[in-house]
Amino acid sequence: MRDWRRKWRHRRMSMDDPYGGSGGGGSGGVKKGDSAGKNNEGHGGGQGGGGNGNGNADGGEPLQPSLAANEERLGHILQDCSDIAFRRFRIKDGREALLVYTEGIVDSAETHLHMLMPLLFFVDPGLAEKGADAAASQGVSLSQMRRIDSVEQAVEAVLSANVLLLVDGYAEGAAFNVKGGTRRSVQEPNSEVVIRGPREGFTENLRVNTALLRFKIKSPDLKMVRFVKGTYTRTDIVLAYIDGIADRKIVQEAKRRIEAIEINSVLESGYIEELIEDHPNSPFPQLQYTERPDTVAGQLLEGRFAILVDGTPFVMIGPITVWQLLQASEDYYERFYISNLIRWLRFGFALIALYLPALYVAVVTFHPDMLPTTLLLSVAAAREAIPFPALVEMLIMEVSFEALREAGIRLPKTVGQAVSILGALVVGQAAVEAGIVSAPVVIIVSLTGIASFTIPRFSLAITIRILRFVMIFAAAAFGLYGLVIATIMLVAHMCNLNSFGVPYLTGVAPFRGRDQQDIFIRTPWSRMNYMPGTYVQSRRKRTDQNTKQGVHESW
Amino acid sequence: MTGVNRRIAAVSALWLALFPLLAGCWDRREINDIAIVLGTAVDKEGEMYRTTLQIALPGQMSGTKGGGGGTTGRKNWLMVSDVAETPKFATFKGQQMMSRLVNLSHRRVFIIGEKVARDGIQKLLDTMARDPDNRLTTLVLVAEGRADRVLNIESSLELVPAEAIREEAALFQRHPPTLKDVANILYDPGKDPMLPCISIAEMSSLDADNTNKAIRLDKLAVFRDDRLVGIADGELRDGLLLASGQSKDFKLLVPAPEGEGNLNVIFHHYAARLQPIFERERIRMRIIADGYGTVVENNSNFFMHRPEGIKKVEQAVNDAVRNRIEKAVRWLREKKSDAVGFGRAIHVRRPQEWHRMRKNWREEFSRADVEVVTMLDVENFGYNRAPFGKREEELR
Repeated sequence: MRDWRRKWRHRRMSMDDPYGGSGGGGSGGVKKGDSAGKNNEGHGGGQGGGGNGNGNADGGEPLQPSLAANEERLGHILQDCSDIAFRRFRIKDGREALLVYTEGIVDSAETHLHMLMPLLFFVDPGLAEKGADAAASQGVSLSQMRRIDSVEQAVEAVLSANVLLLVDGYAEGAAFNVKGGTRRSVQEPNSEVVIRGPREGFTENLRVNTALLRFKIKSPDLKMVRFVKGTYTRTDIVLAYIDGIADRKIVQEAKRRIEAIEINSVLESGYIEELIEDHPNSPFPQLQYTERPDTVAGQLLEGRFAILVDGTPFVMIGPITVWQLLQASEDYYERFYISNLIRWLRFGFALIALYLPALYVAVVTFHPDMLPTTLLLSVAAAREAIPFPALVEMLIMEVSFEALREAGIRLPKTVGQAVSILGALVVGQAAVEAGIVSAPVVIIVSLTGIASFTIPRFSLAITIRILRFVMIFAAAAFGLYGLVIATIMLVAHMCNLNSFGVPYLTGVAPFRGRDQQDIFIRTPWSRMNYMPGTYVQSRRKRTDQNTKQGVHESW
Repeated sequence: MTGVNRRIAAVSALWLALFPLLAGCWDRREINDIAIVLGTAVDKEGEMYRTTLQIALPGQMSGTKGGGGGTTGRKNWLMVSDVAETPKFATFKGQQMMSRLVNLSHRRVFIIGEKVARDGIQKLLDTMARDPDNRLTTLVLVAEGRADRVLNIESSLELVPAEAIREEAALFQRHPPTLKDVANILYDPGKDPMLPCISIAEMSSLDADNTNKAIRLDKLAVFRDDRLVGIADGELRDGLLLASGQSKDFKLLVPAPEGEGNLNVIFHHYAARLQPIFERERIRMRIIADGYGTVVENNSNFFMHRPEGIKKVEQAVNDAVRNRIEKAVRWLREKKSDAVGFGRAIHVRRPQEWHRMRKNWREEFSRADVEVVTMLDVENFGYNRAPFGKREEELR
């Protein structure tokens, strides 16, 4: 068994090496898998990497003609896997046959109805003599079928929701995709709630997710290239883009990066994100993730690509700009006045979330002359009995707030309520009354907390939370001077960032006039005629003209 | 890898390079370590200056309870006072009695005692321009008598007297002079300072044992150069405010044109223009007073609601304003103080002429003719025609 695994791994190394001689072959294989258009697990990846041909060609262990030998070999590889079912039976008036499948992930009712029953009772008795392939293609009424030649292919097929059919006397088998089992159904996404807009969210099931996209974009140009990553997890990854809109270079680069991944498990899209992003050391997210199919569809239509990973409802989008992270899908659904007001509110509160605590510390410890006198007196009155310096006070409150927030996420819902009440009472009320912290600090920390929740993308909100502490320390050390220096460094860093070759601040730096339609203001749809700047391939228009409002008769 | 290391090194070097720039910036000071000065009073004792600082006690104010000092017994402020050769040094001596560092950036008012003002205020102002702690937006006022006494009068309406004085000044005239204004005026030979003047007054005499003192701002201190030469009150003050265009919601009490009693008129819109007119040998200063007012009280038996009645009221108002302005200008010429700024008006309109006459401007000023043109309208008489509660046949 160990020997088998080593071989397996070795094979994967050679497959995934994009710089090796087989680099071109790699992408070619992917294309092949895709153009087959079927959901044939492991086919594209398995065959493409080694060049071409079948599993035998790249050193896979071939199946034996003897059914008993094959059963023993598979039983050996899959020993102690109690969820694998082996079913020996005799095809009607004919040869011995074997069904192998994984219980739970295969739809058993379907298997019984369309596979076992016809083979046992209804097939032409002579069929079995024509070979496994014939038996499968003529005796089984299931749609997704493919030929299996090697043991590796057989094992992989069984583990990824296929039913394997082996017939005695033939060194080949057939695998039928009968995906079943229970997974979460399509539900409203919890992490991105909207007032107006579709309520459906992605699920853990990759094919449901791709279907959700296909529902929205009914065009053959919507391409979904499939990859398999993870030595153990064999996780399906799909790179979706719209051919003709997405920049080919960027899509090619995304393919290259995904192919270059070597990892033994992929449990969430976050694994992939960290492996393909441009600047892993930056606090800023360089890929957006979302649970909402409409968001993904919108981004695809603006020329970006999406990466869907099986087993997680979070789909990644790239390349992105920081402006995109400050936009919510509702911005495009609500009428543009309110969209703009809310967008500005969000910009304002993003700044508050980043700067307010630091500004307070700077002003209170360095520049009390900047406050209006009456406000200064109020702050001074509140701070009169506080034993800590402003920095310590602010850190106490900020850290407790972060802890409170973390506790609120982790705790079960029933206890969460208690924690928030306790937090509000203890941290808010009692601490102020006991003179441990001052009321202005509590106000600022809660305002900052509220502000950080207005940022629609959690990944950017986290970044701002981290940077807030940097700002606080800069302010505590150098006052406003420190804040300015930290801001300059922050902006320099952001100018330096890019996501798949697209500058992070595209639209503003580098400035692009046409992008102003959707950065600080969201123009009405009748005016939104240009492709965004992340789309670098050409300067074409999004559309010649969306219908102008003026063409409608008003009476 | 080395590239990354070099970048880290470069970034840290940049950070370190910022530290030397910090020289003098290392002034972190918690808010509970500063004494917030809200007002300063300067008096003279012999040849020495007494500087009194009014320092806010935020703990007494207790932000949560809100404004309105009330009569809780303990005051919201602390008066720290010391005597020294210079006013600034007296402040330093006062600092030696305090555990918190004096912070002048929130000083609302700077009050000059009458005696100091008569001796000249220029000596007080030097430190204001030299020491960056001071704010040039501080209001400057003169106190009748001793400044520290006035500054210590509790106002029940504001938390501290300094704040009360500032608000009163803002109600009293359109642009209360700040330190910056005073400095500009002192540099300019074409204008002399005219500062609001405060004094102690009784607020009410209802309770004989506990008379409520109040700070009253109803006078104007007029300077020649930096020396106080007169304090104007009553019609004189009105005239000065009207001539300089500094009046704010000017209230005018005029006798009724016919019958007995008075009319009360408020000018919400008022502006005064100075127009120098050059004749062969002499200069004529024309003051044009423009604006319109509202009759808010008719305390007479005069019936206004006739076209000729309105004309008579307007006539009376124009006469009253002209009288006040003329009186004020006469007084100014007598004091040889150009507090209204005729010289500045000439400077603006006729710079060449000004350069010729600035040397002996005071002489020119005392010889100049002054002509007052009033163009005041009364636009609003109220909707009840007759005085309220009076039958029309009683009227004239």
